[in-house]
Amino acid sequence: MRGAVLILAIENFVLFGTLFALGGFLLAWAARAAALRDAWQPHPVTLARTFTFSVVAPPLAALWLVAASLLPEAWLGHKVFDSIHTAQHDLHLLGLFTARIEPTLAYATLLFVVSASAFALWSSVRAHARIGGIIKRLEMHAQPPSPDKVALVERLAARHNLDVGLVMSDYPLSFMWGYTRSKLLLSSGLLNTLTAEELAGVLEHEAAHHARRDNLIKLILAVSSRLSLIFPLTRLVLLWRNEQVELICDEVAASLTSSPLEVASALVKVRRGSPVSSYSPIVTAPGVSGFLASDTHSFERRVHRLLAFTDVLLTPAHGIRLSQPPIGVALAVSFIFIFSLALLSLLTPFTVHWAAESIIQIIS
Amino acid sequence: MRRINPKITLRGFKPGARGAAHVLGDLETAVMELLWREPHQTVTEVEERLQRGREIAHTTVQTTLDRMHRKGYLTREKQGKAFVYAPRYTREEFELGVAQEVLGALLQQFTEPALSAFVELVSEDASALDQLEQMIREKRRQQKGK
Repeated sequence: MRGAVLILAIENFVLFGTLFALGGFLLAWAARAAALRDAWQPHPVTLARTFTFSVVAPPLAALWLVAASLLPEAWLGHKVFDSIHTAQHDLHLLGLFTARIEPTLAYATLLFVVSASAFALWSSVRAHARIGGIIKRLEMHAQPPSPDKVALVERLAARHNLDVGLVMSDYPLSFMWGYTRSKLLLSSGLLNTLTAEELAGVLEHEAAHHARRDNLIKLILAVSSRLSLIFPLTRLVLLWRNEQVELICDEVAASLTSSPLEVASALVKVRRGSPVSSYSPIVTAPGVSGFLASDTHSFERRVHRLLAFTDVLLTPAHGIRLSQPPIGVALAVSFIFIFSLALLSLLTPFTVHWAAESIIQIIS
Repeated sequence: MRRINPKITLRGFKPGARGAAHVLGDLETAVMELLWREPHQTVTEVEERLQRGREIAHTTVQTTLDRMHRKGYLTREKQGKAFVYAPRYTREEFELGVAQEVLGALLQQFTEPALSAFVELVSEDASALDQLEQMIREKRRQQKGK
């Protein structure tokens, strides 16, 4: 019986999650379209939060709905539950829709969730290991960087408590790698290509990623995005969100260095020195070709925005504010989730259950 | 930017090695080094030079040169009865190709959450970059003028 309830819960979670995720995608798409057409001019933080909401809220809402609907039976026991809940149907919530194809649908969704989660976990672990392997291989014939640039990197890395790895490659590369204890990887080519001021801008940008726990948040969002049947669309939202995160980190770098022009100049130099490759998933992945054009524009938008900052007073305090991780929001969401669920289960255990059934009956 | 064609396979990549040895075996590395120093050599000439440092059979050298030609690392021309081998790429081009392959493999991971890159490594129109650089220079001039 418990197994059946679990399958039922997973099935409803996936199907409701997909419905909500579709709504989330439409919200994200509308927000992005409005921002691109200048009908709405939000700060990148607002837009990034909208995208985050559209990815995280659907599985959370589906989980809340399923928990609130199915908890009463576990909470009150079968006898009490059956005496209050007299409706005769084997499968709740979506039962009216899916009765004819049960239990096949239940097993299919269970199989989907298990395989999607396993694949997400496997691909994340594999990517992490693979990146690590590739980084080890990047030691190529390259010009060693000048000691003063290395000293600058060490100074700024110590200030931000960053682990830094230097890769010997003439390509100018800079990225943060890892989830909890991120490591900054810089190439000798980056140190040789950029001036000290530009290099400081890049380091502040990367330090902002580290402070904001961006890779960890990306991992959580990547897992959240796999929990519905429309994950290719949700993945697109993650790419849009990444654009906004880069804008935020640029703003942090511009604020902390007080040199937006140097950050802009570093962007252009790194882009020019990057190996043009046909390997980029953004270029090659089918179904996202539309993103390529906007990606080029997104790079230009980054530079234009930094140039616009030269006419605005950005204080270091502003940059520090922007680099705060969203711990408060995460705690507030967790509290609301658990508190509302507990309150409903204790006070009116059948409200959500009946409400969900009523909605389904109206739709059907 | 010129690419090595055919692609250098990463499967045989040896971390910790230097230059061409990243993707080539010991003997292949020795052959490449030799031909980079003195291009256009026959199998016998390559064998003679390799014999100075190691015991090696004529057929092994022949097979190695043939395999490297098929992989696209060497070119060959028939002169009389013998093939004359030369490197298809300079040392710098070859190492660049290796670097591109490794970076290409890295690029495949750029949408993974484990990575945040300063700049996404996708192709950019050079004239667009020129234009952006010009705008930055202009802004710098304006700032200095203030």
